[in-house]
Order: sequence, then structure tokens, then C-alpha cells
Amino acid sequence: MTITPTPSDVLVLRSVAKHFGQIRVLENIDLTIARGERHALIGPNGAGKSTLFNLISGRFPLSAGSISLNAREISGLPPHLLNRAGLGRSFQITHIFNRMSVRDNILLSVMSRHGKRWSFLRRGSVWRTIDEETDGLLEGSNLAHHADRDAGTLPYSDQRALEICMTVATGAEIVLLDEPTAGMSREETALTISFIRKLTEGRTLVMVEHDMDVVFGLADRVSVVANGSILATGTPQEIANDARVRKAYLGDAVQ
Amino acid sequence: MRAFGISGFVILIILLAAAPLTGDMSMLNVLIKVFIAAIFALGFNLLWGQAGLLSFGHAAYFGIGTFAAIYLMDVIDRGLAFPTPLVPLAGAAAGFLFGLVAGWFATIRSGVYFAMITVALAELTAALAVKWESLFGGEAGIRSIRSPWGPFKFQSTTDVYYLILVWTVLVIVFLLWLQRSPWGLIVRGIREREERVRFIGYKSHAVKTLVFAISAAIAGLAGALLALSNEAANMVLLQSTGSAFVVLNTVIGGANVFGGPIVGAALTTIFSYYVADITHYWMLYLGLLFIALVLYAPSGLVGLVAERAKAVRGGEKQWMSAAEAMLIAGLATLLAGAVLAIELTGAVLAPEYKAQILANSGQWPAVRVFGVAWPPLSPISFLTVIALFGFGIGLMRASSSNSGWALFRPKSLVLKAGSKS
Amino acid sequence: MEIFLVALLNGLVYGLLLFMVSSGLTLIFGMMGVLNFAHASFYMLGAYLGFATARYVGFFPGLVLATAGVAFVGYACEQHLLRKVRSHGHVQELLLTFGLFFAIDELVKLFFGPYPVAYSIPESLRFAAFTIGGTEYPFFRVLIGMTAITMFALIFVLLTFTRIGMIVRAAVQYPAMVSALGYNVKQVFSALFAIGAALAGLAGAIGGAFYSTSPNMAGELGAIVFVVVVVGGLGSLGGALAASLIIGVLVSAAVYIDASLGDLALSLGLISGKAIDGLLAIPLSATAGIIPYVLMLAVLLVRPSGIAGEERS
Repeated sequence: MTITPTPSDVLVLRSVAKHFGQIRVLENIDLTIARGERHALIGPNGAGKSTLFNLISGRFPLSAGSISLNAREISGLPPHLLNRAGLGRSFQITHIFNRMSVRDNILLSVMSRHGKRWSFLRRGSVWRTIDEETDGLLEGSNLAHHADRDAGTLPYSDQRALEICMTVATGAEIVLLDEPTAGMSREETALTISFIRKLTEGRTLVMVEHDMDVVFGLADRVSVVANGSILATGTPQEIANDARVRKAYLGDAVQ
Repeated sequence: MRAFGISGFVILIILLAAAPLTGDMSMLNVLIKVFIAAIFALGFNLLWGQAGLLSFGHAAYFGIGTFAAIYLMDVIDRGLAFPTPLVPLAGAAAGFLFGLVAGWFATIRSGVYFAMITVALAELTAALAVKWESLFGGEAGIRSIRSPWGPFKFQSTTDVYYLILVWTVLVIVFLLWLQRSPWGLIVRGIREREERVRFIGYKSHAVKTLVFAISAAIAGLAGALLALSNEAANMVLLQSTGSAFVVLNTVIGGANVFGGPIVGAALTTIFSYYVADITHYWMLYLGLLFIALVLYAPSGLVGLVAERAKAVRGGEKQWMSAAEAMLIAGLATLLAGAVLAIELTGAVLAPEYKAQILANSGQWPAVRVFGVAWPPLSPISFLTVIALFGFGIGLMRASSSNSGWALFRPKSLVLKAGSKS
Repeated sequence: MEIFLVALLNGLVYGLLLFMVSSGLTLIFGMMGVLNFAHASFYMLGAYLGFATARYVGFFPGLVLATAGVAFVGYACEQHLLRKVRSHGHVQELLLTFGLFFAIDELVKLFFGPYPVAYSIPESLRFAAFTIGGTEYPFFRVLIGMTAITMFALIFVLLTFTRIGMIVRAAVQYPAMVSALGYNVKQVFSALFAIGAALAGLAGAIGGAFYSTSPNMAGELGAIVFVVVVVGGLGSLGGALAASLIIGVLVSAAVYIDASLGDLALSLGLISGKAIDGLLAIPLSATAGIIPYVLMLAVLLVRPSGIAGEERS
């Protein structure tokens, strides 16, 4: 499948491959993601969707191919430059700062967004902006009443909310979420869906997901990763009706 | 709580400032050593407590600071118009530059790799110092002299004491400020979750390199103060004993509270000052204490007190229950037995002892411990050791309500979130 | 030419000795993520136990007793000390092993004094194994090399061809899985720890007689073992072997070079003869001790994960 990217495509993957030694986890991946799109990566376990996610988010180097962001090659960039290019990612295992307050967790992302990375003094009016933004994000994530608690003492779903909030707080225009609803109950999942929708308003979203409710509730388009390649891409409805997809998930036993 | 801390700190400084009035010079000398060790430990803990980087080779930067200072002192003596009170800046600068290079290498990797690299870097520096006699003075070291400046002659212990006290306060204030700065937040973020820090846009390697350099600068500053105090620098200061001691001091005091390393440094220094004359084995005792603390009180003595204070305030515990008092009494007895056994063993195995046996016509002469003479082969010595052990363990068992033995369940070093003291 | 061969052989022997000590360290880390700061202390204990027993039972029985003694000490430390804090994380265990290292140093001084002891090759073993050109090559060096090679052959056979070896290999890679299959991974690890200690102890018992036995041994060797592990890649036996041999040969070769860095620069026309002073005047032979560290810095610059290290940073 050749791709012809259009100017509205913010993320383009061309012939991306990933090998771990002899094992070929991903082969010949072509994918385009449009600006403002909400795109879900789904697939059976072990198919390579997490690896693909880690390639896009810069955690693993590519074995072949290229990934470009806004027509700029980003494969091989270190994480901090990826972030400054506009990419933000969350982690499947919550990567928050446990022994720091919830506010400080978010503050670090906001500071980075405003370029305050070597700041030893709180001087200048930008700090008021930073504090206001932090407070705003606390409110928006429903964490304001926890602001001074250590992040590690939060209940699990609040930790996940914080995780997502930190990702978005850097001002990333492309938000990558790795199984954001992992381990959540149905109620928590529903809340998280609307939370993600609100927080990623106007941004591009790519997420790895297992939960079909989330996929249907959030995604504009879905890519199915199976056996190391992309089996199909389309709207959630199209994918749900695709026979090849059903076969990939359920095997030959079910027609 | 914060107000108590500040006023307590101020009172302490006033008391320390008044110390020279007592005229007790040996106390001043001990305090000088304590201040230097405390500054070194605080610098070390900037790296560990704040950044989560455990360096086992920090003596290298301390030693480099000493030499930088001694050379500056020499140049001042020959006429350079540089104020003596600012000589420690040379130590800080040398430590910083070295720390920048060393830190860049060491922080390429993390965790245990980092620890190993710090050891190797320190050995490299120590080995270089041994070979480079013209710079490091070989076994004799380098000597110089404190030059007067303005109204200060710097010839008396009191002058040196005040100089070092002022620098100690300055370092404490600097470190407290650094911790509270926005950059300090990034450093703690790296300690908590470095990968996350990178993915929100920070160059963690650069930050780690700088915090390493600052930590080394403070170690260098402490070394410079030593050079001022002793008017000498020796390559021995670069060796692993110094690196081991700063780790010991910080763990004994506690890495999670700002004042922990200060307390640890004070305790170790005072212990070594007074006990080193009494027994050869004081370092062994320190080592065993260290192991016990890592197992049973990894947040250090200050951490222990802070945790207990929090529990008392929360109404969950008393300062000390009867069972715990009994446990501690038992422990003290057990330790007395261990010390007696170690001292007797050491004395008997020492080469001088063989000579003493010969001089005593084949009889094994008595060994003095705790002011009493113990004949090594007599049943009294054995029985006393056994009795002390037995009584101690018995007391400890007798106190074995939950609160008693709980002291002896190995505790976790990692502070759980929410348990900041 | 013969100097070259002698230097090479010396280097290989020293490298093999290094590998005996570092193999245990790197395997133990690979399996449990535990960096045993006191690993070089096992080397020292082997030397001292060899010294203490050889006086009474002879050199070779002394070797056996020393090895067994250190294996026992290692096993006891792991069971009763290290295991207690393992669940609390690597840092605490690292600190504990550091405390052990410090305490063992002091204990050795307690029992044997703070100076080197006269542990040396027995008279009966001071002969030449063969001659290279006009130089006699001492048998004892060959003995060191042969001991190391025999140990590795034994371990290789055990690991590759026995059932227990298979379990150990699996446990090093996937301890959780092996545990789920019903094997007692804790015991496997304790045994591995004891064997690693025993290897280090044997290396010490044999090496201490040749090189020297003093309370500084653990600290000095420990730093070099760390370099081996950093250069070779933590957890990789192959990397540790390569690194040990490289370091051994480099250090050994440098001892024979009397020229200094300054002479080298002079011959390259970089500086004038008068400028050779201080650091530049040190003959390369004297810097032999520094070479492992310089190598480590170079590796960190060029290939941070080590010779055989993994991609993860």
C-alpha cells in the first residue's frame, strides 16, 4: 500500500520496520495520520502495536523506514527533542513523580512548555502564567482538591488522569496515549473517555487500546496491527465489519 | 513546623558562634572537623537525596578542592592580593570543573552503572595523584600557610573556626535555595522518573551533569576548608576511605531529611575523634553500625526520629514504649558483649601481643577494655562475653511484644509517597 | 619478539584471573539486578583464607579450604543479609553490599593486621614451565591460567549439558517464568551467588600468593572489576571475558613500555624536549594502573552500553 501524504497529514510513517535481533516484530508499516484526527491502534496481543507506538514516540530506534512529523524527519530524535517538536506521550505503566505533589507533577510539564528548563529564580510575569495554567489543568483534570498530595498516594484512576494531564500539559499538538484505560472499571473508563476528549480538543491523538468502547467512543479512524503489519485502516464501523480483522482476532474458527 | 525549624536553626548558629568563648580549643577543633564533614555530606546528598544518584567516589572532588586551595594559598603567600576568606571558592571552582567532566561521563549511564563509574573515576584520580608527585606532593603532601587579610590574622583556631562556620551557613542556605528553585524540581523529577522527565522535554543528561558538578563543587569547597584548617593537602584525601565515609555519614544521619547528613557527619566525626584513641577497631564498629542501619533503619537516625515524631503527633505512638526501652537496653548489652569480644580478639591477634607474651614468660597478659583488665584465656572473660550476649538477647526477647521486635524487621529504604517527614 | 610473547601471556593470565572474579559479579547482576559491592571482598577473603590455612595444611589443600570457606561466607551473606532487603529495591541492597565491603575490610585488618601478609608461592612451585627464546616462563602463572580455564570449562559443561544448568540459564533470563514453572528460583540464585563467590575466592587464593595479599586488595581489584563490567556490558559473560582479556593485555603491555607520553609527543613533533615534565614525564609503564579507567572512559564515549551490552540506556 503506497501512501501519498497530503498537507493535512501531521504524522507520516513510511516503510517502517523494527527488528529485535532475528525477530521481525514490524515490517513495512505505512501510515498517515491527519491533523486533529483521533486514531486508535488496535490488534491482538503480541501483534506489534505497542512496539509501533514506541517507535512513533521515540522510545525505540527504527530498524528501517522513516517517521516524519509536519514533514520533518523525527526518527532517531531523542525524547526531549521529540517533545519540543510537538509530540507528547503517556505510558502504560504510570510514569508520574510519586514523591512530588500533584501540582508539582503538572508544573514540570508546564515549565517545559514555557521553556523554563534552566530556571533558578522565579522571576518574570511568565511565572504567573505558568501557575495559572497549572491551576487550570488541575481543575480540568479534577485533581485540584489533591493538589498538594504526593502523586503516589492518589487512587489509580486519578494517577492515570494525572499521567494524561502531564502529557497534554507540555502543549503537545500530537498526543500519544498508551492504553489510557488499562485496569479501569467501566465507570472509570467512561469518565476517562470524556476526559480525554476534553483534554485533547483540537489536537491530534494516537492511542493504543484494547477496549472497544474506548475505540468507538473516541476514535475517528482505527488501524489494526496484526502479525507485524497493518491489516486495515478505516473508521471504527468499517473495521468492525471487516472480515479480515475478525479473522485476525478470532482466528479461522469463527466465520 | 517550618517556623520551629528556622528558629531552631538560628539558635543553633548563635550557640555555635558563642562556642569560642568557652576557650575550649579541642572542642573548636572537633567542631571544625564536623563542619567540614557536614558540608561534604550535604554536597554528596544533593546528588543522592535530590537527584537519586549514589556516588561512591566523591572523595576525588574533595581532594581536588584541597589541592586547589593549597596552591591558591601559596600564591597569596607570595603576594597575590586575594582575600583568604574567599580561598574556598578555588576549591569550589576546581570541584565544579572536574565534576562537570566526571559527571558528564558518569551520568551517561544510570543506576548501578553510575555507581561503578564513580568508583572507577575516583580510583583513576587517586592513582594519578600517586604517580604525579610534582603536583600532588607524594606521601608528604603539600604545605602552605594562611595569609592574613584585612583585620583578620587567621593565626588562631578561633579565626579559622569562624571562617568555617560562616561558610557552613552559606552552603546550607545555598542548598536550601537550590532545592526550592524551579530547577531543583526538575532534579527531583529525574530522581522519581527520569524517562518521564525526558519525554516532557528536558535534557536529563545535561541536568544530571550540572547537579553532579554542583555536588562536586561543594565537596571541593569542603576540601578547601580542610586545606585552610590544616595548611596542608595530601593525596590520601583522594582515596576511597573518604568516599566511604561520606556515604556512611549520609546513611547514618539519613538522606531524606535535609539535616540528616549534617547529623550523620557530626556523629561520625565526634565518634572517631574520641573513640579512635581508645580502640583500633572504631572503623569496624562504624561499618557494623552502617550495616545495621541499612537493614533496620535505612532512613537514618534523623529519619527514625522524624518518623517517630510524626507518629507521636498523629497520636499513634509514644516516644518510646516500655517494650522498646527494654529492647534497646537488651541491644546495648548485646553490643557491649560484642565490643568486648572484638577488642579481646583484636588485642590477642596483634603482633605486639606475641612480644608481650614472651616478656611475660609465656603467660598471656591481660587486655584492658572498658577500664577493666581481662585475662584473655581466663573463664571470666569468656563467661562475661557469653553473659552479656545471653542477657542482651534475653532482654530483647522479653520485650518481644509487636512493638519490640518490629524494630528488627528489615525496613525499606524507599520512602513511600506521602510519608515525607 | 619474546618480550611481546611474554607480555601477551602475562596479560592473558591476568585477564583470566580478572574474569574469574568478574564473571560472578556480572552473572549475579544479570540475574537479579544485584550489584555486589563486596564481590572483590570475596577475592580478598580467598587470599587471606588461603594464607591462613596453607601454613598448616599445605598450599593446594589451602586452596580448597579457602574456596569452600568463601563459598560458605557468600552463601551465608546472601541468605541472611542480602535477601532481607532484596524486596525493597536495588539501592538498599547495593548499600548493604557496600557496608559489607567496608566491614570485611575492617575485619580482615582485625584478624590479620593492616599490612600485607607474607602469602607467597610455595618453594616447590617456583620453577619454569617453559622457555620462550631466552626467557623462562614461571609455572605459577601457567597454573593461574589453567585453573581459570578448567573452572570455565567445568561451568560451561555444567550450564550447557546438565538439567540444573538449563534451569540456571533460564532463571538468569526469566526468573519469574522459571519460578512459575515450579522451580525454587531463590535457591538457584543463592547457589549461583555462592558459586560466584567461590570463583572469586579461588581466584584470590591463587592470585594472592602471586600478586600480593593486603587489606587494600578488595578496593583496588573492585574498581577494576567494575571497569570490566562496564566495558563488557552488565550481564554478559562474553563481554566480561573480552573486557578482562583486553584490560589484562593492555596493562601488561604497558608495563614493558618505558617511553613516556612526552617521548611519544616529542617523536611526533608535537612538543619540544624541554616541555616534557609533570604528567608527560611519567613513563607509560607507571600508568599501567590507570589504563583500565581510561579504557572505560573511552568506551563510555563511543559505545555506552559496553561491548556486549543491550540497547537500553
